[in-house]
Formats: sequence, C-alpha cells, structure tokens
Amino acid sequence: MEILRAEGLVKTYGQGENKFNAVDGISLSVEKGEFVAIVGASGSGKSTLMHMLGGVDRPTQGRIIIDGTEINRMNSNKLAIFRRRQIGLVYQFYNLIPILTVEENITLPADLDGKKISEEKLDGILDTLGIKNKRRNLPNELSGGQQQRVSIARALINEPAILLADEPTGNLDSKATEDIMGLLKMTNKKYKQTIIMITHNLDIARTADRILTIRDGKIVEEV
Amino acid sequence: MNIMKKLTLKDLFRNKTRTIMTILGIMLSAALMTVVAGVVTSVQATLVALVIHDDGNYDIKAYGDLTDDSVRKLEANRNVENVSYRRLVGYSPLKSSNSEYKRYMLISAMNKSAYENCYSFRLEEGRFPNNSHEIILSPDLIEYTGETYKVGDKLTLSIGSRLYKETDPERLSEMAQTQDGPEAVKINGKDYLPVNYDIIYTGDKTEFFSPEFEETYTVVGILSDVSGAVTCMGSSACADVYTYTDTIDNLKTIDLFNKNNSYAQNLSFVNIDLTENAERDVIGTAAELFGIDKEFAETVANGDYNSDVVYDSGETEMTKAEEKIKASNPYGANYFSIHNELLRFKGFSMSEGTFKMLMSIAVFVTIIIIVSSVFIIRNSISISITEKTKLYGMLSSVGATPRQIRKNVLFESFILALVGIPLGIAFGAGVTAAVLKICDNLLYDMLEGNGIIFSVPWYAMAAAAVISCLTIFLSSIFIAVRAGKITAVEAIRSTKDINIKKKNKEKSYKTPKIVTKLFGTGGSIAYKNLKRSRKQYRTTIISIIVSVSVYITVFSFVDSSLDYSGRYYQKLDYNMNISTSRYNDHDIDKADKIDSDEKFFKTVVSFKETEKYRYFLNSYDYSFDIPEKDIYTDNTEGYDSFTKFFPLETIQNGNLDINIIVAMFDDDSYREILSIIGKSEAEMKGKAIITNDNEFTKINENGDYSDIKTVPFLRNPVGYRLKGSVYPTDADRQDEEVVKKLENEKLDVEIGAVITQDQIQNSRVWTFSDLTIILDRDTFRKCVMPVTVSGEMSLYSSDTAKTEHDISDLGLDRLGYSVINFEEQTNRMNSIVTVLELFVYGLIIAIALIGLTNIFNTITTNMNLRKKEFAMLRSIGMTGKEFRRMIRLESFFYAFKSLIIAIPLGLLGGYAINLLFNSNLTGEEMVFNFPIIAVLISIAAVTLAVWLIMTYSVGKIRRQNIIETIRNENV
Repeated sequence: MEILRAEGLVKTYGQGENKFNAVDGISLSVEKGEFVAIVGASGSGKSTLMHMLGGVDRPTQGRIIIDGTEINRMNSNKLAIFRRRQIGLVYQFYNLIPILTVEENITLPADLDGKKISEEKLDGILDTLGIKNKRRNLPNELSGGQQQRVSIARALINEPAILLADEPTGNLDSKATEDIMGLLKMTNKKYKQTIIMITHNLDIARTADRILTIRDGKIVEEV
Repeated sequence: MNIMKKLTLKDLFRNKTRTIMTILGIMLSAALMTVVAGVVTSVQATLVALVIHDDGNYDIKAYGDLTDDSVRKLEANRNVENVSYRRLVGYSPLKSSNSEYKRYMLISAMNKSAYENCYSFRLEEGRFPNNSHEIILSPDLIEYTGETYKVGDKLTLSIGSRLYKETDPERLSEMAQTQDGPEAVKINGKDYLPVNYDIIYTGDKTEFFSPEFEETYTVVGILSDVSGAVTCMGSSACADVYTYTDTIDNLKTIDLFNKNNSYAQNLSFVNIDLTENAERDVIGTAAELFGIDKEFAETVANGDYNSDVVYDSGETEMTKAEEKIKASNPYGANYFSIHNELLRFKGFSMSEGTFKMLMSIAVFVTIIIIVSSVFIIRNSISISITEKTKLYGMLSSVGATPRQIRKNVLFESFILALVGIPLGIAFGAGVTAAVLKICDNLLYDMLEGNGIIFSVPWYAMAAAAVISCLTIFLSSIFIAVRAGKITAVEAIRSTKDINIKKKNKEKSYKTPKIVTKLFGTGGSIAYKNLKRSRKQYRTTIISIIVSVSVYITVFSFVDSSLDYSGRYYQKLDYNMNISTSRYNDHDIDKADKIDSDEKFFKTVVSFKETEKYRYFLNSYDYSFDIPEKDIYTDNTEGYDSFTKFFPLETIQNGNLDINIIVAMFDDDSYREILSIIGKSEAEMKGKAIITNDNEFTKINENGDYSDIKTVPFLRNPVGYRLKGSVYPTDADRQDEEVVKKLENEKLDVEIGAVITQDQIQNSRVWTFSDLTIILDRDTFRKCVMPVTVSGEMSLYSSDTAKTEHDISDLGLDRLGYSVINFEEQTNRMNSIVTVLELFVYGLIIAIALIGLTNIFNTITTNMNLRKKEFAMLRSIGMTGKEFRRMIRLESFFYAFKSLIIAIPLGLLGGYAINLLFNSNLTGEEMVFNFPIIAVLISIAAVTLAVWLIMTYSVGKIRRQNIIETIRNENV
C-alpha cells in the first residue's frame, strides 16, 4: 500500500534574477515498508526534498500525501501534530535536546501528544538500539553514534508512517556507521518501518531497497 | 590592521543590538558612579558656600580685647591662613524711618581680610571701602528709612550708644527690638522710644540714645543682599553700615566693655581662618593657639556648660571658662568658638550624628553602585564574548593560537570600554548638572540667591573610569583565557558551552509529576531547563536578584525615613499660629479676657485670607484632688509610675493632687468632638468631656521606658464630679484679697462623657498631652477664672504676610499675643523632601535600568543560542501554541526563581539599613515598614520584563524558517 506520494514538487528560492528551483518537479511514490535511499551531490536538492516530504518545509508547487493525508495544505499547527505522530526525523547532527536525558529525548514526541509510553515499549526500544544503560545520561555524555541511536529511537517511538533520515551517518566513524545502518535495516525488516534516507554515499545507499538519484532538483535515475 | 582585529570590529558592527546593549550597560554603570560622586561633591560644595555666605569663611572666632599686636601674632602662626576682624564702631540714629522697627544705623568696621577672604558680600553698586571714612550701606537701610542714599553722598553721623536706664545707664542688646505702635513718649522733655519689654527684666521700658562723637563718611557702595555677616535682621532696631579699618587700637569706637553686657562683644570679634592642614584638627589647633588643653578646648567648642550651676561668687561655668581662656592665651581673647557648621560640611568634623548618618548612607549607596556596576559590566562583556564562542572555535580551527584569541578578546573589551566609559562619564556629568539645576529651581528660596554649585571633581570621574576599566579588564581576562581554550569542534558543536549542572544524578533527574500535570510537556521542558540551568542563565538570575533586592532595600529605606522625618516635618494644614498669653500680673479682674481672646480669634477667622482654622482657650492652673480609690490601678503592681503624672508616691492622704487642663474649643471643633463621642449638644450642656487616658510605666536602669501600660484614669468617669481650684502663687500670697478670691472660686463640673487621645488625634481638633476636660463655651465662661486663661489658634492663610499685617493693624497688643508664621519652614521642608525623593527615586530607576539592560542582554543571547534547539522541537512536532506556552512558563519559572531569592534579600537589606540607622540615632526609633508596595512592584515588573523580553527574542527566532535554522546550523 502506498504510504507516501509526491506529485510535481517544486521548491523555488530567491527573487527575480536570483530565482532558482532547488526542487524542480519531482514526483515519487513509496510503498509501506520500503527502504528508499535518495542520493545526489551537494546542492542537488535532496535535503530540500526531504524537508518537504517531512512536512518541515512547504513546496512552492505540488502535493504530498502521506498515509492518505495531504500535508501541503495543512496549517502549521495541524502539520506539527501530524509530524509528531506520523513522521520520524533524524538529522546529521544536533538531534537531541541537550537538557533532556536520553529517556526524555526519546519520549518527547509522545509527551507532546500527552501520551504515556509504556515501560515495556521504552525498554524494548532502548534495548533494540543498544542504549539501555545510557537511559539517564545527557546527550553531551554520549558519543556521536550513541546520540544518533537516541535520535532514531525518538523517531521510532510513535511508530510513524515514515522515517526520514538526512545523512544519518555523515558524522560517524565507520564502525558507528555500520551499526546505525544495521539498525535502520533491522527496523525496516522487523517492524516494517518505511524509511526514506538521504545520503551522498553510494555504498550506504545500497543498503536500501530502492535508490533515487537527484541532480539539479530532478530525479534522474531509479534503481 | 591585523585580520583578527578587523574581524572583531566587523562583528561588533554587524551585531549592532548586542554591541549597543553592552556599551549601554557599561555607560550606565560609569554614569551612575559619576552621578553619585558628582551629586555628593556638589551638594557639599553648595553647603559649604552657603555657610560661608551666611557666616563667613573662618574656622575659629575669638572674642575679647584683642589688639593689633594680637592680630599680628595670629597671622604669624603657622597654622593660620588669614585673620579677619570686625569692630563695632557705634550706633547712629536714623533721621527718618518708615518702619516701626528701624531706628538706628549700626556702624561696624572690618579689615581688608574680612572683605577679601572672609565674607562674600555682593555689591549692588559701587565698591568696598578702603579707609575708615568710607562706608557701604546694607539694603535694609534703603528699604526702611525711606531715604535715598547714593554712592558719593557725604554723611555726617552722630555716633553713640543705646542705653536703657537713665539712672544707671546700661547698654542695650543690639538685638533689642523696638515695639511697633505708639510714637516716642516724652518724659522730662526728652523723647523715649518704647522698647520690647521682653528684653528688660525689671524697671524702665524706655530707651535713649547717648551720643559720643561725630564722624563724616562718604558712601562708596551699596550691598545687594543681606548675608549672615550682617547682624541686623529685618525686625531688629538697626540697619548695618560697614566701614574699613586696618587697625583695632586706633579705631575710634564707643566704649564696648561694660559690665552685664557681653552682647556688644558679639559684634567685635576676630575670625581666624586656618590652613587646610590645621583644619583637619581644629580643636587641637585651637587648644594650641589659646594655650589650653584639648579636653577643655572641646568643652568650649561644644558649649557644654551646665547653665544651672551658679557659684556663690555669682559666676557660672561659662564665666569661669572665660577666665581660664583669658589667662592662658597671649592674644587677649576671653572666649572663642569653633565654626562647627562649616567644618562639618567640609568634612572635617564628624561629630554630628545626623551628618554621620548621611555619610554612612552615601558610603552604602556608593558601595551598592560599585558592586552593581562591577556585575553589570562583567555580565555585558561575558555575554558579548560568549556569543562568539563559535567564532573563536573557528579561529582556533583555522590556526589561531590561544594567545591570539586571548588578545582578541581583550581587544574587543578595550573597544567597548573606549566607547562606553567616556560616554558614560559625560552622560553622568550631564545628568548631574540637570538634576542640580532642577534642585536649584526647587530650592531657590531656601538658598537665598546662592546657586547650587556644580562640581564633578576630576578624581570622581577618574575613579569611575578606573573602576570600570578594572572591572572590564578583569572580566575579560578570565573570559579570554576560557576563549583561548575552546577547541574547534567544541565550538561548532556548542556542547561544551552547555554546562549542565548535575550534582546528583538522581536528584536532578526527577521532575515533579505535578509540573507536567499542570504545565504539560512544554512546562516540563521549561522546568528542566531551569533545574539543569546553564551558566548563562545564572547571570540573568543574578541580575534580576541584584536589581530587585537593591530596589526593595532602597525603597524600604526611603519609606521609613520619610515616615520618620514626617513625624517632625509633616505636611501642614496650617501655616500660622497665634497665641494669647496668660496674664502675668495678678490683676484678677480681667473679666473680659475670655471674651476678648475669642473675639480676637474670630476676627482673624473673618479675614478673607483665612482658609482653615481651629482654636482653643484653656487654663493650666486648675488642680484637682482625686481620691486614690477613684483612680484605676488594677493590674499595675510592679509598675513604677504614671507617665504623665507624678509617681504613685505623690498620692498623699489617699488623694492624688493633679493638674487637669480645662479647655474650650471653637464651635466646629466642639461639634466634631460631640460627633466623635456620639452625643448631642443638649446632652452635654454643662457637663465636661474628659480624656480619660492614663499610662503606667516601668523604667529600666538607663532611665528608658521598658514597658508602658495604657489604662483609664478614672474608674467610673461618667457622672463623676470634679472639683478643682487654682493655687495661689508666691506672688499671689502677697495679697490676701487675691488669695481669698482664688480659694473661693472653685471649678465644679460633672463629667458627661469620655473621649480618647487617639480619637482626638485623628480629627482636626487640638490634642493636649495631658489630662483634659472639655467644656462648652457657656460653662467655660461661667466656671473658669479668666485670668488663668490663654488661647491658641492655628490657621491656614493664603497670604501670610497680609494676615500678619492685618493682625498687627488690629492693635490688640494688650492681649499679649504672638504670631508665628511658619509658611517658610513648610515650603522649605517640602522642597527638601522633594529633592531627596528625586535623588533616591532617580537612583532606583537607574539601578532598574541597568538591571533591565543586563536582563535583556542575557535573555536575548540565551535565546539566540538555543535557536537550534527550538528548531528541533518544532521539527519533531511541537505546535506554535505549545512552543509559546513553553516560553511563557520558562519566563515564569525564571521570574519566580529570581524573586524567591531577591525579595527576602531585599527585605533583609532594608532591615539592615534600618538597624544601621537606629544605632546612630538617638531618640525615636525609625520604624521598619514592610515594603509591600516595593515587593508587589518587583514581582509585577520582573515577571513582565522577563516575559516580554523572552517573547520578543523568541518571536524574532520563530519567524525564521525552521529549516533555515537547522540548515544554517548544520554547517
């Protein structure tokens, strides 16, 4: 079943002569449980695309439908609520709120919703991501890899429709990269979590089911 | 210029707001220090000038038979700067006078030093006299004589003495006033001017002039004002005229020294101005000069004589002192005095309690200012640099050495200081000038034409500059070192910057469930932020604490001191007082006294200018015998005495012999009393209302009251019958008729009602401090002996001068009344209070401003630094509404946390000052009023300020695209 559809997405920046389209007419469709990788060089528009798909940025033109809901028409408030329930975001760095512990960071989306996460579930996810013994630590006491694990845990806690990851391993060493990619792969397989990941690294991209290449704001290749 | 410096300057320019705020903070501190110093020195300079104008610039005044040789000896003394003297030449009757008072010219001669160094005379026209045949005239002379004197006029004057007893001539005091009214009385063909009999104790009331020699003078100048050096005040009989002399010995004068007249000596004295060094220890110098020991000099300086002691020889302590001085000094002086006022204001004599108190305030205030300034500057610099952590990290990663970064930090501070400090000092000087100008206008009358001196001494400005520089430098050093240590990655990551306080993992981990319940997730984040607060927030909180606690302290101090001074200097409803006196001679047939006194008062009431009034007539002479059993003494065992009356021991034969005031009031006051006690006029007709208040006291070893118990006086006052009589005095007993009359005229009244002192005090009616019975007019006139009656009236007049004039026109001198016009005092006091308030509130506002600047700076910086965090929260899915709520709560928590500490601190400070004051004051204590208003204002102000600033800075951030923020930060 189709979980995400984008139609004719365009994102324009600048004015007059400086006008340019970061995303220049992209349409795509993602099935539930798919692991999609978007690759492209810097400045190709991949981050812009991801931000729009995640509801963090609005397209200048086009539609985005996630799990049946058209998000480009929603107001900021509704969008925010939608995001915390249906979208998990993982960035390259600075994902975590520095004054919250690991545990608190993870439950944050649920807390915003006023929902309580059961101890079981929390334990489970901490365990799965291998950070159980760090649950009461603050982010500045964790390594880069551990921080990313926490981000992923937070992204997954609400079982969102899609998980969007922007260069999740860009900041990590090879061992950590391996770990993270493994985790992503696992959640995808085990929990049928739809993942869309951006990377500039083809090797990493190959972990995914599908690779979309972007250049100059357009999808040029699909593998 | 090197690249780093360029970078710094560019950065300063780019972040205009932050730079300006920082400079503002520095400016305000420097300005505040300058203003405080400037105001204190200006006020001091003004006071010194005032005193000099009023009384001359000298330190020691010597009286007695000093000669030219004495003067030379004094001038030669190494401690003496200069010697000025004044000698009374004599009196000369005025040819004509259009004033009832002025009859004479009082001619004095002064030496060169007096004109040049000592007195600050101002000439309307002409010049000062150069020889003993030239004179200058005081403005009084022109005003009161109706004659026109011109510069250049030649006057031949008959000079002599004023005497008052023809048979045994004695000199008259220069202060003796002539009584206005009737013209000269002819006795034996001679004209005699009536003299105010108060000066004369016995005998004749007439005065006459005894000429001694003639002198011709040329008028060379006319004075423009009447400074204190002029001795003849408006109401005295003389007007001053001054001439010049360079010798004491050869100056022709009337004979000054004569028994029973030390007054003439008051006008012939020597003013000694000491060198600045000697001024530091005037008493010691005086002791040295006059050859006496320091303790004795101190007694003389304080005028500490027991005037009750009269030795058998007829001498008093004062005359003995005079003898001692005369015997010890080589100048012929027989007395001296120290110019305490001048020295006090110059700062050399700190003996006065009040002055000491004022100085402690000034010191206290200065310390607060300095501490606040240090804080503010430190914070400003710290913020400015903290924001640039990333920049420094980058520089470090690019290859700048820690040393270069340190230098850079110091350079930035230097630039900020360079701009901020001079601007601040200039601004401070400007504010001082403005404030002083306002005071000048407010206090114009009080200063009698002397302007307020503006003085911001170089050392004050230098001190302000130095303290600021030092503070800036010291803060920068520490921060510079820290900046140098930042590694590139830390800076970019900005994680090191966040020093989360985590003393106890368990403790700070738990967030009370109630927070989340009440305030939601946003609130719990806000709360966590507070608990695990970063170092930067500490500066915000400390700024708020400093500002608020200082504000509360100063506020409570002002409140208490105004309250305290308000007891003595209250806002007056009345500005004039008239009192009629009791007859001194026992011509007891002055039956119309009550009527004529009241008629007098009523006439004044009828004046157009009288707006408010109240009066009473009373008698203090009635004594009552009250049986002990009728007096309330329950539960008073162990008490020593009544406060108002005599100790219990005065109860003799079971009776207390006590004075009770018998009084009647004007109709309005009486009616008010009736309404207070809830009785009608008919009910109280013929009956007395008594103030039935008594107090029992316990007295401790020091003679102070250790306990006061308020009880009623009579047990059953209503219906009680009081019988009183007037005791004959010794003079009365000379005449049997008088004694008989007094003993037979008893006062016999029944008490109809009771009223308390408190009830009266809260009304417009006069309060008496002793037991009083109040009668209606008819009963008073029937029962009270007129000869024992006196009266008093307070009124508010819209034109006090006219009222005074109108009263004297009534010609009712036989009533022996006196009029006091205290309009001037009221205005003076109100001006002073206004000025004080101006200063203090100005100070408070300044401190608040500084605090606000700081708070603004810290909060906006903090918000900026958390841009990423905010963006993150938004991206995870926090709605705008929830986000705003979080900010609101965070501001609430900050305000709360700061106020929780600040308010108790402020209260403590206020209480401490109160204690400090009371330890220096004698007499009544200054009450500590809980400054509830200040507390409420602080709470409201802080909460509002913090919330506004946070919202403003967050608003700025919010408008930025979430993505832009994340994108920009993810560089």
